[in-house]
Amino acid sequence: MGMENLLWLIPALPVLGFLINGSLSLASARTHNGPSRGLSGFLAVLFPLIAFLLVLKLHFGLHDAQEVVRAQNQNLGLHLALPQSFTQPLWSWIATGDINLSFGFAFDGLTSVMLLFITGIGTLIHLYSIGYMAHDRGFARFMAYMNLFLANMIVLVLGNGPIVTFLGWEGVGLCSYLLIGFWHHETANNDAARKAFLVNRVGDLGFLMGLFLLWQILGPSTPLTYQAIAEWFRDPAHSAALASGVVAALLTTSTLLLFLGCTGKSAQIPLLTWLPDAMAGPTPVSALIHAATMVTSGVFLLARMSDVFVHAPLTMQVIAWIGAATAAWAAVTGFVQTDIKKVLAYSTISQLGFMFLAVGVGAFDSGLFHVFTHAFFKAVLFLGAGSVIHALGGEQDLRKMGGLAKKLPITFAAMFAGWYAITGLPFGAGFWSKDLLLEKVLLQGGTALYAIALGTAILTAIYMTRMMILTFWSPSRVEHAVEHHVHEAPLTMQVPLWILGIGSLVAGFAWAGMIPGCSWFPAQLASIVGPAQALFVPVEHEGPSAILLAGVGVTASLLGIALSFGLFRRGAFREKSQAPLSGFAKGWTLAFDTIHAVVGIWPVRISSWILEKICQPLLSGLVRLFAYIVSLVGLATQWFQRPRLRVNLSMSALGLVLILIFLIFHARTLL
Amino acid sequence: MDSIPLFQLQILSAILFAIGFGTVLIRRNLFFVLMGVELMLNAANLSFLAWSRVQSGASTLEGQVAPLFSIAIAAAEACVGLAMLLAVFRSRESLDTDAFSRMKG
Repeated sequence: MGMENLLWLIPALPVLGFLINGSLSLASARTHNGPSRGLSGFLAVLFPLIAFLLVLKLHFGLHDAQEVVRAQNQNLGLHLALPQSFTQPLWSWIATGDINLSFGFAFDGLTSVMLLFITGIGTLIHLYSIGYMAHDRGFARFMAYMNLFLANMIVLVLGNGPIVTFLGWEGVGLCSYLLIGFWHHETANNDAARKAFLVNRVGDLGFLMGLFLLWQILGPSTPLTYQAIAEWFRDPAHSAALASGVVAALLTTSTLLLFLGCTGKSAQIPLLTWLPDAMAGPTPVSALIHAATMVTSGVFLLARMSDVFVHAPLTMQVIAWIGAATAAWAAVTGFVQTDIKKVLAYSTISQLGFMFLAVGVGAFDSGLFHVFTHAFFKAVLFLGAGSVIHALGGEQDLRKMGGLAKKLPITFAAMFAGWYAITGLPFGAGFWSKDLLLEKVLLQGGTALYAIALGTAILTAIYMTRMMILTFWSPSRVEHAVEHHVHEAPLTMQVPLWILGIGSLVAGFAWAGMIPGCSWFPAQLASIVGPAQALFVPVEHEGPSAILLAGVGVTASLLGIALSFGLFRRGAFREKSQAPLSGFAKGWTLAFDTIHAVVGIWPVRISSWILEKICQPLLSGLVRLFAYIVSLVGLATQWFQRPRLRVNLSMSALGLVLILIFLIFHARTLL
Repeated sequence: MDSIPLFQLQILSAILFAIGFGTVLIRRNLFFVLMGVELMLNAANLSFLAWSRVQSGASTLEGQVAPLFSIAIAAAEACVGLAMLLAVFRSRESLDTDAFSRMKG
């Protein structure tokens, strides 16, 4: 059996887990304790693990297939193209007229990189959830949702075209909604879930409209697969058409709309407000969905369609600036948060901004590399935060933490690794990816964007260090009642922390630019984003050397850390007051909520008011009028329905006569 | 014998039909209603015969056979109708059509 026939198994395995756990959950709905934690947890981890192993097998299988062809070429002096992907068309989805949509999967370098960390980190977070959710009555339901999420995320990444991706795109949105509102007994959680869903709907609409516009440009007979789209745009025969005004305008609109979809899923300006609220969900959810995987699908989509986006320079500019603005804005916001998960949420938005910035300047592969490393260190930070929250019995307020380094050594070590990586200290994962990203931004985007990015890097170091100080290093402010119960997490939660902690220190070596041989990552992506990136000529050919830029980056991090220690060493600066956020901090956080209210919610409210108070009475009046006329006619004709033989007979005779008259005068027109 | 023109025969047939129909509509006595129906049937028969005379070949026969059927069926109908009429009269002591409204929906 060929490798490509295995593709469908990757999403099918988590679906199986979802079905089993979902059935267990439903079947045990009336019992007090629910199904066995051991069984349902084991199943929930087993299927993602098998999927991960399968992805590994396929990854090496693709590599081997390429090696075989390469050896043939060498031995026989041929120039055969290397196989770049496994594809498995499963069935024809929509076939009507010219349109023929196939449903299938494609596995290439980009997919394999994404799937490796989605299934790998996904498995670890499932394992972590066993410990974190152990005391929750909805354990099996939680595991079922998580498995369903993983399946949808795999479909999103593995789809052979944007339509299949859209299927997964909607699926992960649904699972995100279900998991944010997992603790549905509290209204705030349900509100957060609905908000996430609705804000994402706006983006999804953009995605769909952008896709249809793109299809319009390609022509309906082009099969809507990534392969076909990329080939269409790479074909020199189409460059003249792309240069013409109408097509260029259409393409710009289409790509902007697609990008709107990405901003929704990846929480960028203007659709970013849902992610901080999404922290209402259980912490493993935040780690898996709202940090490592789902929120990066916007970057994934841009890279997948890089050949399309490079032909819309305006869109690329917009992406770069929105990325930079989001990164800076979210970093400043992270600075004033008091909830440990909110800090991480804004940090995620900020890091996603970095990725979009890289993509916007045409450095698709380094943007994706940041996705890759970010998945490790942000997952470990979230899981560490979850471990802290677990230890403190549900406390998330940074002002009530402190001094936990000695009490939670393993959690501390893991979060330290994550912190080390995200601040960009030498040889951590963030060091390699962020410095590479900054270098590309300087060379291809100019100094203004570089300055913003560097400033954001300093801010990142400040707020992350602040979080670490307030949690682990500053004097303890933990309430006495809680302090006695502080305990390290169970083993199922520790193992993922270890692995991801080590991962966030070493993941950067997948693309350590300065070390020869450490370029596994860009080699994976070369065939997908390479042609698009070749179109980007660096603004400055003779930039500063990579070593110098790395030095600048590290200096920025150290500066931020030093500033942070100066400011927050004793847990000072607003942290003494226990009041909820107010003034500047609140206004800053909610700025976009206000904008959404003005742009989106108020127009809807006003139009709904108009509809209710004006249109609805008018329409219902009209309906009543017609109903009244009908009943009047009914009353009038009731007379004819009397039980009188002669009346009935004369009426039918009259009818016959009328029909005959009509036929006589209109016979010609009828024939 | 000079044949009567087709047109006059049709007019006669129409007049007979109208008289029959008028009887059905105007009279309330069921006897007269049945008689009106007979008259209408015979008006149609006359029309058939008149048409058959201006046809040629097999159509002539068809025009004459149809009234024969019609007469036979009319005889049967009269039998059944009169029998029902008797039955109705026994149960209701009346032949007024307007009195029969028990089957209204």
